[in-house]
Amino acid sequence: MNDDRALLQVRNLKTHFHTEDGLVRAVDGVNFRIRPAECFALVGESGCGKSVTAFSILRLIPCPPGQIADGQILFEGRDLLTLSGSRMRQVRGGQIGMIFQEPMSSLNPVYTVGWQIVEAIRLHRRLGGAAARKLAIELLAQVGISAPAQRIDEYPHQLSGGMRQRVMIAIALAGQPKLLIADEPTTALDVTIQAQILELIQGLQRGRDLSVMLITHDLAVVAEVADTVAVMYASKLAELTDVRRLFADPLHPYTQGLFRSIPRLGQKADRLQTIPGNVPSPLAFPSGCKFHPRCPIGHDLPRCRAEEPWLREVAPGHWAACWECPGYQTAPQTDPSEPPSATISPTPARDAPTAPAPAAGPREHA
Amino acid sequence: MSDPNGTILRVRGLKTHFPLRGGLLRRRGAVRAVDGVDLDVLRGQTLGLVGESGSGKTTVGRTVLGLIPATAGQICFDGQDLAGLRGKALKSARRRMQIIFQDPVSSLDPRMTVSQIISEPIVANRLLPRRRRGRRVAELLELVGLSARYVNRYPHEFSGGQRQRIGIARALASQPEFIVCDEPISALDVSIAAQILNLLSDLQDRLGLSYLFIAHNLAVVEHFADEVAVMYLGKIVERAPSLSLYARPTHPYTQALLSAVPKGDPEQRSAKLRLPGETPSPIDPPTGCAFHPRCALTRQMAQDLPMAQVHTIVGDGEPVRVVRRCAEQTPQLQSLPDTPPHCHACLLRQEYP
Repeated sequence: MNDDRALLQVRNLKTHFHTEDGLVRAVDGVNFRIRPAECFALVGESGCGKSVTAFSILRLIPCPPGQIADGQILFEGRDLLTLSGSRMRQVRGGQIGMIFQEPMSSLNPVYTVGWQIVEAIRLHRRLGGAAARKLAIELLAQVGISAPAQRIDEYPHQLSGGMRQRVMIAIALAGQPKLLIADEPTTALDVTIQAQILELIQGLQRGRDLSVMLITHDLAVVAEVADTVAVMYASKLAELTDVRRLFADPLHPYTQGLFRSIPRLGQKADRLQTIPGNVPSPLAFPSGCKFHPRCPIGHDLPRCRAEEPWLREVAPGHWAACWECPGYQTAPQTDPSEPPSATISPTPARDAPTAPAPAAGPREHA
Repeated sequence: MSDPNGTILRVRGLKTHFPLRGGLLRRRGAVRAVDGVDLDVLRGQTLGLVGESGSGKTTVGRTVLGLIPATAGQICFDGQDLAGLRGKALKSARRRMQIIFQDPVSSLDPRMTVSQIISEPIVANRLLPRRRRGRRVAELLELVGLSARYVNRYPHEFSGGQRQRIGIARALASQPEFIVCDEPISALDVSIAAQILNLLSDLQDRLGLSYLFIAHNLAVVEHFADEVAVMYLGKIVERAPSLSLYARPTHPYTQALLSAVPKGDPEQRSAKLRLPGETPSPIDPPTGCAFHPRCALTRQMAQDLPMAQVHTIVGDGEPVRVVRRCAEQTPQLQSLPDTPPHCHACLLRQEYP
């Protein structure tokens, strides 16, 4: 079934890496959809597979050792996994823009920022040099860089971390994206700069009807900007719902544990509650529910140890993968390849025509 | 010998400058990483030091331990001025001060086993004869929540949280009384960070440790520290007991910093006090109050003042009008009249509280 309102649908995505130590199932059957103008957050700890999910959407998984073993990635109804290399290059950096955590290593130190933005513009818009430069200055102004006509001729090392991230966003915007994938965009930045960048991303999301896929480990950032949240643990989604419901009533024991282990401003507790143990290695995932060894409820329940739960809609618009979560056992069995959706107010689809736009991003792996 | 009021570390007027050399070895000034800092760490308590990158908080921690030479100022540890100590006395003072680093990967030598790493401070300080070291290492591992079976493993065999525990065990090996925790949890995942924070707090209770806890995460510091000092460009702009600082932040920088922290509640997407611009360079800090070019309060107050009392900053964008005094006069830390332990360094708030 195609959901017309979804801009991106990821269905049963499996991305595996063949390593010397064995098969690493970095993403193992992930489903979700992103609507137009929605901010979708994918949250999880390091190694849970959130970045690999993003790189799979962009088809930037190095192959070998990586391989998208199964699934579909439908972007505006087209399966990106079946596109040719050259068609994919038009989407990547074009309709799907991306920004990464470390803006210094994503920018080329030997070219001016203007050169790098103009490169992105000329790769996918038919503009001459002068017009492209003029547009580049406009883009710099749009991302909040003061004196853009001077800044355009500066090199990345002359800019601060926050400025570099703004330049990365300008490069992503050069392709007139409908979806912006932001992988930990503020993790390397100070909180005051983080607030500026989040505000910029939110402004773009509203002003341009841009969908944002935000990948982060920081639940506080999620609370600030996301509409829908998916919590990822050990290569799978543990819970998916809209942001208010997730924060008001987290259902999966892992999500609950995460919330309890974060000190929040203005809520001083004597002791933080913790999740015991460590995140399991993808080479040695536990049997059954992958969270059961750390789970306060399921650590010695036979079913949790033996059978792996799948996301089910336990309450309207609230999906969780936990045998013991209220409503799970009576919830209807779902088709594993059907992406869950959190019920949020539907947003009308954007129908402005978009020029095809090749990549201005990092190296491509066919 | 111990200070009567229980101050284990007393820092006065600390400055750490890094000289800069021009192209042809011509000196042209210095990076004023720390520029006049006063601190007191009380015995058995935690002083949180917060600030953004480049504020000088890490340099304070390292200078206090003598890892970076101080340019000026006095560092007294347990009543002794460290600058006056030499030889054995210095070594014995330094045994009692330790550090836990941010990055649990680069702070452990990959070619040493856990046992070698943890016993190094014991060997260096000649604390125990060889035959008793093994038992002490096992004790230390258990103290930080690791199994003593791990003694012969190498750092790469551990996860980030476990490595941080090894770093803590190493810091504890010389039986210190005071530990500088330099961003001890920033490199860790949230579920692991909570475990490490709880461990540090248990160790403080059991061993009576005093911490200088350096962090950029204000929520973590609120949770962990008894007293908090906020740094901006090498200076402390506000210092107060944790409860008082978070309940009533007074310096405009502290207010902006606290307001920038996401509250973690989707129902309260905060209207932020937006802090314009970025931290200026400590090579050429702004005159007067270093915060004045970004300060919302001085901009607001400048609107109602006669032009003679206003200073105009011309930069990249719109010219900005600030109170002239903020651009000319260097503020000093002063107590709030009703709550003396709460100090701040804002000229405007000191004049019109």
